[in-house]
Amino acid sequence: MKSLLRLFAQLVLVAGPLAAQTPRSLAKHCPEELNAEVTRAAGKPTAELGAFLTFGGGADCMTALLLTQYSGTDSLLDRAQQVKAALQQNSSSGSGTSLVSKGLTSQVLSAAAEYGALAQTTSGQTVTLSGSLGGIPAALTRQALIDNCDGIRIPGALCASNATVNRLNRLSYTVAFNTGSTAQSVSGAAAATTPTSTAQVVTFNATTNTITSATGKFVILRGAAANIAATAAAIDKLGTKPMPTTQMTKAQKDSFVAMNNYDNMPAVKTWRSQTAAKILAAPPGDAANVWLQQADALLSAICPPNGPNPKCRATVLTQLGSYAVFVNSYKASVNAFVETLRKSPLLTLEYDYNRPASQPTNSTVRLVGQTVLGGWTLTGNGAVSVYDSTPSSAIPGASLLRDVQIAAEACYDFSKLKKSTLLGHSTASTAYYFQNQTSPAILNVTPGQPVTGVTITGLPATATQVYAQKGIISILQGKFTYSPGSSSISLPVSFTWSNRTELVTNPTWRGQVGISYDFDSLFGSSK
Amino acid sequence: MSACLTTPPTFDQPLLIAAKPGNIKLKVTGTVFFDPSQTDVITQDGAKIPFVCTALTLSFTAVAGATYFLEILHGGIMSNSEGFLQEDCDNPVTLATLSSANTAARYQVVVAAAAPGGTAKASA
Repeated sequence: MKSLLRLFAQLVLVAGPLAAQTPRSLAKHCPEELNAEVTRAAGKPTAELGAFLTFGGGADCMTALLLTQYSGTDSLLDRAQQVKAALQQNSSSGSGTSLVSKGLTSQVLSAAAEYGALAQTTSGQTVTLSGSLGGIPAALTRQALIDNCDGIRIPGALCASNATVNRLNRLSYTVAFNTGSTAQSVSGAAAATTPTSTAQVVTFNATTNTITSATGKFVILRGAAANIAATAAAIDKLGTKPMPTTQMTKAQKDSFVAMNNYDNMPAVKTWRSQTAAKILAAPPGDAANVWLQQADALLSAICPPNGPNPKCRATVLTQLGSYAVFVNSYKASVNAFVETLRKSPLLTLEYDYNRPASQPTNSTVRLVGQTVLGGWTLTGNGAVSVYDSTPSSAIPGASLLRDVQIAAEACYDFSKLKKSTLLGHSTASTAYYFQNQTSPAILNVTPGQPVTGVTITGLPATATQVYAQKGIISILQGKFTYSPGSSSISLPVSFTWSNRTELVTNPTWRGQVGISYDFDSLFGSSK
Repeated sequence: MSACLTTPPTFDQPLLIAAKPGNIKLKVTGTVFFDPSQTDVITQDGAKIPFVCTALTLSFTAVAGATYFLEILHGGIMSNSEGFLQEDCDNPVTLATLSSANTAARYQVVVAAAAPGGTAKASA
């Protein structure tokens, strides 16, 4: 697992736009915060400036300041392993939980899954892996393999900022695997026909279809970020459930409390007064440099060079490292939480690689746009689908261009009405889908082995492909979901009409009535 | 609104909030929020006392003569978020700055002892 971890980290570090760090760099927001306090202080020693120079009020910046005195030059992975060993967090070193157990790609995917960089879901015989590019550095940060540029940076380590993670998260992917018995079909043909023989030589031909589809999405225009009111509402809605953020362990809490005790040491109080005086006397814009120069004095105040405890500095650095690991992970998790509250993307480019069973592979490029106007959510998309190889010339009208798709949907949320009504959170939507099937839909067939779910009669023994009629496909759908008040019950009613499908040329009508209940509401309770 | 019970810290004691007994309700303004499940109000002995914490408020009952520690974990909606801890009262003043530069804060609340006659005097 160690080598696997090293491989995964190295791959990511090579690929990711991570920032290398100079030995004396700090959490970048500390100088900003210090300058803000100095401006507010207007030359006087204020409580806020004093708090900034304590662990109780400025723990992250005090930790970052002291860590500049850390002279270790251990490699990134060695450092991470030291931290992990010290914190006894090596709970992910087990084996046997990965989807795929052999091969370089599968190992990387496996490590990514185990460290939270991608999600794996299973439905029937289909296993789907999905994730976003930003999930990889975020997972490395949570595992303390790299630092968070927005948190506390340990000298010698690489870091990924929350902004970098958010940018990478614009690119997401989904890969669906068929793990069922239909993933591979084998057919055979006798090499010779000798009726009297009891044994025959047969030539086998296998067709594998393990990956059924792969999708990549890139968000061109992101939706608006959540403001503080929306964020607070989302937190309060959690009730007694904790925020989905990194939880401080007991060891990390103990380190934080122990660091706070240093604030009351007489030598540290003296350091605070002297440092504040120097900061306030510094030329404008030089406060951070003055503060940085006081790092050695702070460490000496906490651990005098000739003090009675020879292990003092080692103890302090362990406490600082423990707290720093928590902060880096916590800030990554807070960023992830806030990003989940961001509004839907405004414009997305999507690529689908489709390998449907018994059909030629095809690729679809789709542009999706969405906007919200009051209670209305308007969505539109356009797509072009092409076959990945030129269809047989024996199929009339077949070309690389498979079809062109245009779709539009308008959805109204009745909860946006100024006055509450009996409709509560009900929604009404209507959608229209247009597809110009410029090339016939094609099915691959094997003589004597029919396509699952399709019965074809009168097919010549030599046929390997069948095709349907090309033409225009129109689908109209209306849906109303009745969700009264704050009830967890909803009643969806929908109808769908289409003039034809890709294979069947007859019009179809369909109606659906359902009932759903949000069981999550049973487990969430207000304070 | 009601009269303020708290007095802001000073430079010499930047983590000490003096208070009068009563129900103290604190709020954070700006673009910072509390992490309610990782925010605590404890006594000097480390025992938790009853308190209510939401994303933007923290309230508890301060008993005369007691000392509490506010252990606050906070986040921000931006990487450079800044917020101000204030009491939710008439003419509130800033008790502390909570910014994204820092994550965990630990402030001490010292409640004045009840004076003879039932009134309390806040002192640091």
